[in-house]
Amino acid sequence: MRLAIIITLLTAASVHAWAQSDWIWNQYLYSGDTNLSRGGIWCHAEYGIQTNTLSNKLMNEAIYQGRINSATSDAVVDLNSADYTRLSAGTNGAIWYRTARPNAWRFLFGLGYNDHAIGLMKNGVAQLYLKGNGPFEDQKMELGPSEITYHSYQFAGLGIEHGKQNVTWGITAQLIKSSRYTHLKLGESSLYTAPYGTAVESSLNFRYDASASEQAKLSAWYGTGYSLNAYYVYKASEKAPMICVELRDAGQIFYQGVRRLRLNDSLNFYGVGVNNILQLDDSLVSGENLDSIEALLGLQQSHPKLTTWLPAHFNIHFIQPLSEKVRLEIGLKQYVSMGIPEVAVGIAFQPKPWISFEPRIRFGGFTRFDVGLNAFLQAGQHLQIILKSEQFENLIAPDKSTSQYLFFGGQVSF
Amino acid sequence: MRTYLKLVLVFSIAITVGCRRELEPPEVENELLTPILRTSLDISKIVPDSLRSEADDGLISLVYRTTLYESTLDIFDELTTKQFENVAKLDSLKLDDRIVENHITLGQIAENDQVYGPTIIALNGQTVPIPAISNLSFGPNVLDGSEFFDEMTLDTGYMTISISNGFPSSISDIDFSIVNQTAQNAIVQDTFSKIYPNQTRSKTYDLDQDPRVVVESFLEAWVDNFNLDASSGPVLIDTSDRITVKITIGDLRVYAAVAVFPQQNIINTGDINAMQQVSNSRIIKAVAKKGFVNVEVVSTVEDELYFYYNIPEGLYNGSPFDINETIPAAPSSNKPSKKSFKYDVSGYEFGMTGYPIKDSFNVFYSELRGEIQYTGKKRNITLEDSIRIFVHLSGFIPEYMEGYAGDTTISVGPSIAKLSLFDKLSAKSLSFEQVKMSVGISNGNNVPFKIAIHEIKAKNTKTGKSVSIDLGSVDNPISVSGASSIFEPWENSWSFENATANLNNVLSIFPDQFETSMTIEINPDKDTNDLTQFAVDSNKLSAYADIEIPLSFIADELTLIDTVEFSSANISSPEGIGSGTLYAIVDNSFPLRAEIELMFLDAGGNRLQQVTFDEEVAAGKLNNPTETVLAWSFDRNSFDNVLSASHVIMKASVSTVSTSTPVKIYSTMDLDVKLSARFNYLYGGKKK
Repeated sequence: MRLAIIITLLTAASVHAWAQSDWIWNQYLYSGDTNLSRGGIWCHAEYGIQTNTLSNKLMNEAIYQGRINSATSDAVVDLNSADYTRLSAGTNGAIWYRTARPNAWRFLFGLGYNDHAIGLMKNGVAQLYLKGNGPFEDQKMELGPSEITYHSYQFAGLGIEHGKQNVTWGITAQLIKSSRYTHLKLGESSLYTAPYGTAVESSLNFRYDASASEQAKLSAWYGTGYSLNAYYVYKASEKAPMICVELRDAGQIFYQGVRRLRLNDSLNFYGVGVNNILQLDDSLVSGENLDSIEALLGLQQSHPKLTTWLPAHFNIHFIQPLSEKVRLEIGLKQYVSMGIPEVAVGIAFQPKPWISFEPRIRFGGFTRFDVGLNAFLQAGQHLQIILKSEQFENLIAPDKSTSQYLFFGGQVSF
Repeated sequence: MRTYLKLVLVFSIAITVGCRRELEPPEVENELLTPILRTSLDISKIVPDSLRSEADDGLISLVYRTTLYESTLDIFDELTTKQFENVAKLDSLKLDDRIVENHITLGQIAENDQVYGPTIIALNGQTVPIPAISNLSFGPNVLDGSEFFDEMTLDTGYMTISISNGFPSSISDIDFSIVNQTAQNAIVQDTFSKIYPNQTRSKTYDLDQDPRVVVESFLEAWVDNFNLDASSGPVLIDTSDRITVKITIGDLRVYAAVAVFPQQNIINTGDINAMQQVSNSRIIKAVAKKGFVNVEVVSTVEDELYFYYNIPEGLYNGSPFDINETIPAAPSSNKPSKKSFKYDVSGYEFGMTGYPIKDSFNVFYSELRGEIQYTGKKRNITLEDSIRIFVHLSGFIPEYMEGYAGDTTISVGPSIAKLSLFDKLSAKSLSFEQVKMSVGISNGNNVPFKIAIHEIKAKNTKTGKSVSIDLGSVDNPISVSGASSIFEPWENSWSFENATANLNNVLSIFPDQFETSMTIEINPDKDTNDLTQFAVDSNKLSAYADIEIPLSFIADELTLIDTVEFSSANISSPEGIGSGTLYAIVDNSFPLRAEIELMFLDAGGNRLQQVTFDEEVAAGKLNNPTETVLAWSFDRNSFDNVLSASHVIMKASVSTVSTSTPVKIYSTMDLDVKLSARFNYLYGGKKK
């Protein structure tokens, strides 16, 4: 189970996959440009880790150092194991090409990838993984219900977009090649460690599905799927706000076979029962390692076909021009099947036509409260570059802050 | 524009492929708290069943028996017999009676007589008077015995010559001789005076002559002269009338012969063979635990030899030992044939009183019979031929005997008996409230003994200390009677009275051996006529000491030490384990406090790591255990030392709470131990 948690949590992934609608509202937010009928190429890459409990320092150690120090994870000891840790982490990137046809159908072609872990788990899971059971002597650790999902896939997208007067809408469909999939779901589960560790009593109810992982991600094709993105953009007049509503990542991936482990049992370990300690023999030292204990637990293994849903979610962006150089952005994001709404608020200031800045805050969702600063640069007539960062907390107080985010993208317009 | 496009494309490729590295799970510093083992030690596990007895109130006593002396009777050592050799020659060979005969007709005689012959032939068929005709003869008339022999030189025998007169008138003055055809020497030469018509007359001759008579297979019968007497009237002249000569050779004992021998025994003997190495024992019956009958046969006889070896009083499941073997014919008299046989007689019961008259002891009777069989073929056998048969017992070790077991006196000792009771113990002081000891004798055989114990000394060979046990309260010498059956040994024991003080002194040195000196007299009454004794090799005469120590004692630093093998090979992923604490949670209801120490050693016996806990196990009370949590903190280096160890010395130093009031150990007391560990564990990473 620990291995499952590791794989699921700590393989790089993304906050959410960017799509065509982002092109539209980013263009307007930072440059004030409302011409959506030009052709062009949009590309970006981003990574982010959003969590309400795990510090940036801990995540940095996990990702960049490959080792989580005990002192770094000390903070999780104080968490209530019955509360939840939310986590959305990963990286994604894409490139989209849009044809130029004013007031008519435009076509979209795109390529991209997405590595994304998303989870909602009892703090007890994180505590057990990060600290072991030692600090929780004579305590009952709640482990479920918890659920963690990891997707790694590449896609090729095709879409259409139509813009006329105040309304632009579009839909894109992505063909997905999945290279990794892991899903851990725990039902009501708990673990109790007796004083001095004389007994470990657990009640475990979990299911763990994992695709193969032998091949490199780029060449691996373990599952095939689709996703649909649809968006609607409305801007009534030049001074009216732009409202962008989007449904993203509505889709499924189909796997011919995944490795499934199931367990629903009470497992208690009181140490090896030795009938006579005075007749010591090898049986006392023939211990099992942690992984092989899994075999002892009586895990049920199977290799079923699997259809898994992508984490579909809604995005709403409301951009209100406050003046010629200032625009207010309010963003709302909600996953269909989990979590709480995420709200982002920013004010873009464009002192010159070729540059703008946006201080931005984000709260809710998978994070607690984040502060960011975004920058826009018009490099020549056709190139726009956007850099978004929520790294300030990570840089200033990594052990106190819990989320980080970095985006680099832009467009070339024709 | 194109430059921008190129930049975008390069950037796109970079973010799509280059950034997507496969991240390894990180190492995580955990602190694990896990049970390791749990066990409960009650007195039944500390003191094995064989060393423990329990009183009605549950008070435990140590009971220990050590064998001071143990031996079987030396009568069960290997017994042997002298080699039994039998040589047989052909003087016991016989040939069947042989009869050969031939005849001559009147016509044949007439043909050879020039005077009367033509007349007789002319009168054939007529009835006329026959005149007297003198000086007739005939011969040689060949007698053929080649069907039975070629030649034989006789040792004894007889020859009977019979002449039957088939002529119509009597014959008289018949001079005859029997001549070997080749040698032309006469074997018999004699005269019949008169033989009437149709009369047969015989004469028998003894062939036991010196020099020995040689008989060839072809003999010539000669009638050198005879007279045909005148008939008493006219008689029918028939030239086919005949005189028949018959030779019978009988009761032949052959010195040498090339002959067809009949089936006959050539050896038939019985042998009474005295057992050796039996001292003054008188064995009347013995069952072989193992042993062999060895038979070797050397034969110069140019005929296949059959022999039968039989031990009438050697029985297995009621059947006597009986073997039949064949010895091939010798190629020639100069090249005897030789053959050896070895028969396992394990399990055979041998009567040793002689046979068929059973009035002896220590003897071994067997019968041997050698035989040649009729083959229809002529064989050359002479009196110089011999058959030598060697028989002896080897490796004969009885497992059971009956009779008189002998009378000897054996001095024993000092006989050393190892005492393992205190092997793993030492103490600053140890005093038992009571110690009981007795000496016992067990005699599994129906043979009486008398045992005089001179000294029993307890000794600690490590310290060199020794204490003699006071034998004053024990009968000495001890008369030992015989067992009533092989399954019911005679047993008795003699207690040392009021010996606690002396025995506490004995135990205080933690002896590891007893040294016993004694004299054992077998059959002290020397009643050699008592043949009712029996003995089994597995039944022994044992002298033992029984020690009973009720576990009511005062101990100061009673130290139990044991060394056991240890291997960390099966500890998986030990590299992840860092520093930590080993806990021992002990619930003790023994009224003893204890300090526990482990010492891990390498293969060379070098100390690698000492494990001492932060406190001692507190003494408990019956039905009221005391919990003590022992802790040993270790670092990675200490743990590595443990992993490197090949042995571990477990040491427990136990003391009673009081130094004046003994504590009692009851069967319901126990020591529950739970071993657990809290340790830092580095989990995950590439090594996983």
